Amino acid sequence: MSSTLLRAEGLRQVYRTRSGRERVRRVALDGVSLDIRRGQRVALVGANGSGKSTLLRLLARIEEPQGGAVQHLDEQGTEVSRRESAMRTGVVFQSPGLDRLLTVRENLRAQAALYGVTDAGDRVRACAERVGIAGRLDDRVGALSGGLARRADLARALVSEPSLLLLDEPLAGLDESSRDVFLRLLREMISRDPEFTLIMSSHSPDEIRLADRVIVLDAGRVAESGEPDGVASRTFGGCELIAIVAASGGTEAGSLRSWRAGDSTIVGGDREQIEHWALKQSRRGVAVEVRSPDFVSAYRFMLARSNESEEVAA
Amino acid sequence: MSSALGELISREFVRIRRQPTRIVATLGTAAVFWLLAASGFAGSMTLPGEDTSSYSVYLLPGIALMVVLFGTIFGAIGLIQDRHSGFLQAVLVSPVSLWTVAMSKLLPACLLATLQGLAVLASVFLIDGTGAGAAGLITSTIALFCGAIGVLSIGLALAWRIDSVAGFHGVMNILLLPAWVLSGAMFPVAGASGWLSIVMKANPLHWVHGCVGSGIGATGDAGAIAWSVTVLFPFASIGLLLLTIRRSHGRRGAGDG
Repeated sequence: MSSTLLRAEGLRQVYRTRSGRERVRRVALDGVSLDIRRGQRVALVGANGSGKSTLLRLLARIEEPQGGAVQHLDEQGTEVSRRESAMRTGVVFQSPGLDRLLTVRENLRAQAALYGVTDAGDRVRACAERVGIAGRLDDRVGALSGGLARRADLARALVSEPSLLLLDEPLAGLDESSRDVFLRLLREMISRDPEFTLIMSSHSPDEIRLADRVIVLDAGRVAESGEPDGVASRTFGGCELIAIVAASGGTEAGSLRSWRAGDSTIVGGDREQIEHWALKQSRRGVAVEVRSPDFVSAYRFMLARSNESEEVAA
Repeated sequence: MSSALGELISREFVRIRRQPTRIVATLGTAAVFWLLAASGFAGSMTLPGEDTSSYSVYLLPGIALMVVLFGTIFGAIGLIQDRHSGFLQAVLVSPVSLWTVAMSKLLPACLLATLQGLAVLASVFLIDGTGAGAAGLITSTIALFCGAIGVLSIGLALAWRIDSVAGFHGVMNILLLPAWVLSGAMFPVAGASGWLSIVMKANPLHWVHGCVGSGIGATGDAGAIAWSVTVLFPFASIGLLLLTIRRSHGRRGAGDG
């Protein structure tokens, strides 16, 4: 089994903010502990405001935690220096970390200098080619579309050839072609280096499918963690099949297990039971979607539940 | 100089080159102000026992200081822009030290501000009878550079904590403009009332102004106290800047990358 690359223990982060006229404290993270092993592809998922971006910022060491600690470890399990951990880490933020007044090439060269890359010219060209923006290297970042700027930002993160890549919702707001470039690149990096470690906050099923481990955050706490299929199985109580009914009213689950999530009802059971139940519903004119209890379904369910409880709390 | 610091400094100069309005605004404001105060209102602003032409000479170091102030304000705003664009975040993730980050913002803006101030001071040679020499101009430029570092370090410390450009402008207007007026840029401390004279002497820019003025012969000899304060001012301000950055980033220090 591969060794631990990153360890977070009891992370706690509280921000002071304003709500109307009052100053309020918002707990972004509340006792988050996790171990990330070398070569893992981790998806941090959760509703908006669940603490994903804050956790990434702490793991990237942009901020120091107010409580707990983040440790980057070497193969022997010894904590490495901040400089060493920074050298092996690349981060892609929600908004590109690029200077809009500079060209793409100037931005990438600056990044290469920050990491002490000696063959900066070649490295910059290679990274630009990998993300498909080699033809725009001498354009100012301010003149690029949002999608191209995000690609340039990915190239920026790759210039230092990191073995740990942290991505904050990398596909958000991208067009189809840029999404494909991102996903293709991530798959390529994963397949090329078994030690390459990826941690991404995500809402996108496409990104989540890349992950071999998901960590579900809810209100700043780890609600679930494990392999995607394991989390899905636990969420739906080990059911073999699930049926999703969009309308909340008029659906009788009988002896089958059922869950309400937002406007949907999810009914679970073994294959025979669910197929029989779904057939009965469709004869009654109710639209039913039958599927395996995969993580994407489980995540949508958890998200709907989380939003529901937020509404009740409000 | 490390290659990271060199690259970040060269980036700042590229940014400055691509924002020519920044230089035009700084020098233009000073030129207009000098024209109005030293020429237009010169008759109503004579110094005690002096003629009107001496006021235009007296104003020179103050105008140079104003150019430095505006230049450093633009420099500090650059930090807020870097934060908004995400570039600062990318730099903070990298292995460079916070000291490098601070110096990369400080040195280019201070150099530019000092050069702009020098351009203003050099105009002293266009005015007859000042007796200013090249050595004096160099002395004044050194004092200006110290002032630029001192003011920009304070500006950067504030910009590190303030998220909006408008908010930063507000704070700078409250702090820096009065500090400039109270430096003796417009009126000598000799004519100030008791309490105001104490406030002026507590203002480091007052001593910087004295050193700048004495070099080009616009004011009297600055003296040892003025030079001591002028030289200590940038060190104290850099200390404040590093303390602010360190407090914002927990235990990450200047030297631990």
